[in-house]
Amino acid sequence: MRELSELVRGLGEQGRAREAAARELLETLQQKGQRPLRNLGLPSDGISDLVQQLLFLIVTRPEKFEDKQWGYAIRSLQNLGLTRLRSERTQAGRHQALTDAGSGELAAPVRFDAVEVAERWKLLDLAHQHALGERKREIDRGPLVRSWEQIKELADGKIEFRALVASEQVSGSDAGAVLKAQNRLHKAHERCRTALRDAIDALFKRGIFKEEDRDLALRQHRGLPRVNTAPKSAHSQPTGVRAGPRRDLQG
Amino acid sequence: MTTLSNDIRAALGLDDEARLDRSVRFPAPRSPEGRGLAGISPLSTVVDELLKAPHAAEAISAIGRVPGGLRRWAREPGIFLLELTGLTAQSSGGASFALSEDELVVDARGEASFVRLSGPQVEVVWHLTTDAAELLEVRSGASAPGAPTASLPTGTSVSSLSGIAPDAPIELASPPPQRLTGGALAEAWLEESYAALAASPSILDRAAAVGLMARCYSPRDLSTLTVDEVLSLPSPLRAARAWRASLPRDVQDALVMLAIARSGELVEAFEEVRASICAETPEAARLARGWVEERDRLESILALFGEDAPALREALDRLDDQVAVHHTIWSMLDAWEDDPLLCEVAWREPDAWWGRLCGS
Repeated sequence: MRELSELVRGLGEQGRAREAAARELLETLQQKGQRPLRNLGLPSDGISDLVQQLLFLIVTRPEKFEDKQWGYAIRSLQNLGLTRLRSERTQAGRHQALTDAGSGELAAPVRFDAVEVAERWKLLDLAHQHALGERKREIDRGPLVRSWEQIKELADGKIEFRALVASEQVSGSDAGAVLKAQNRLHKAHERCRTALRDAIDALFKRGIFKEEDRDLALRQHRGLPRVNTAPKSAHSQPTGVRAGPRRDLQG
Repeated sequence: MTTLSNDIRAALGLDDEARLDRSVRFPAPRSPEGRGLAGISPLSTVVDELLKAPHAAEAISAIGRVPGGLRRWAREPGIFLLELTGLTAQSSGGASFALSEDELVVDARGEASFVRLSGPQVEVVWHLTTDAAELLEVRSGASAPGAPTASLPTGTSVSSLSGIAPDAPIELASPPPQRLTGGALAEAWLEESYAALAASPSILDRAAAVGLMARCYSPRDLSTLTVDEVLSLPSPLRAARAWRASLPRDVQDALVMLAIARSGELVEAFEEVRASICAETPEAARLARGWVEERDRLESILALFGEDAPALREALDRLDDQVAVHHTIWSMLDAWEDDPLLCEVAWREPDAWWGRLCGS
């Protein structure tokens, strides 16, 4: 099986070479996309349209895919599947109550397989190790270790922010205590993310990271936001900030 | 036109005929740190810090890749770092120190500093103060008005911006969206967004409308098409780039410069968003959504230029890098899972971090 980047380059050819690349691309996407899309709950007869949509995107915007691996294209396909499901749910919601079966929260997709996850964290883990090495005292290293674990778990959807906040609450359970705890987390994560960014730069300057390693690591570093996707409690707002006391976090 | 005293002109080696036209101005940041409230260090300390810490350059907030690769130190806005690769520099006023063969630290805190940069295709003067960095283009007085002068590739300079200040009116109308889609209608949200941006008084928004359509349009039902038919469909991005390439060169350059300037403004504005989310103010979600939309518009401008605007790409990378250290704040928001723009971005550009805010 050819790499995605090779097929994308093939789309830049003329005539039969271009068509062959497009066909192989389509077939591989259909094959690789089947399971992740079915895992989302999409019917198999809806998958071919999504794959064709992605093919059109790659054909018209090859530069977005030319240096990427299959995992990137599959993530794109999963996100398209999620978008399609949400759109269908919204339309269905116009006709039936949200409490009906099948209109609940969408499950978070499995973003990567194990190999891809390991690959994704490799460069940033290296940067994290470098940042740790720069800190001699345990009191400086501990928070960096803990924050990095939390950031990764958040990014992978393994844990929700409110659970982390609850674990950080040292005293009290009122809104003020929650606010304090989440800001403390944010500050700790900010320090960790800054240390990572500095470490990426330092590793590049020392020649340990090549230019492409640095660029990829920075791209991965930028791609670590995680918005709250936990099922909404009766007390949270439909979208946006959950304002007011976090009753769902109270004892 | 900007007038300099004879002493300054002489120090910069400008002859009597040379005319200076202001092309763009980057105001100093408004944040307390950016205003230099962190304390004034002697230049020797600044230089020491820049030399000692290999990553100290990270502390310098970039204000756009322009001739001389000028950067401003985030801690004290009167301190600038100029990269001089391939350029010669002459200065007047302020203090300066050669950090390396190709890097010059300029201290404009005590008095305004003028730095003339000359090189192949570059003939500019930077006017540096604690309030702003202003780029002046050197034009030969012998040239006829409007005659072409030193020209640089789009995205690496603001040359050819003669007479176009960032806020000056520039003629630019978004084309009908069907010109980009091969006559087809886009989804309703995209048509509406296009119409709103196309009607904006800002040329950046009007151009962003075209970029947005290019990024987010797909034909509705592709499942019945063969591969050959998909390959023969018109490309909205190609049409958008053709439209951009048809614009006068100075307008293209102005778009890139304005987008770079706006990316700097977004760095400043992010602080308000961050503070609002952390304090859980009622307007936090609205502020954050507005900020994200602005970020996305700049991506639409970049889409129009692609590889032709490396300076804009760099500016946006810098913006994203600066915001990335605060990415935990987004966990304090609920997903915007019904937001069509963010959902489209999530699958079309998985690298675009703000697409993840829809919960993908």
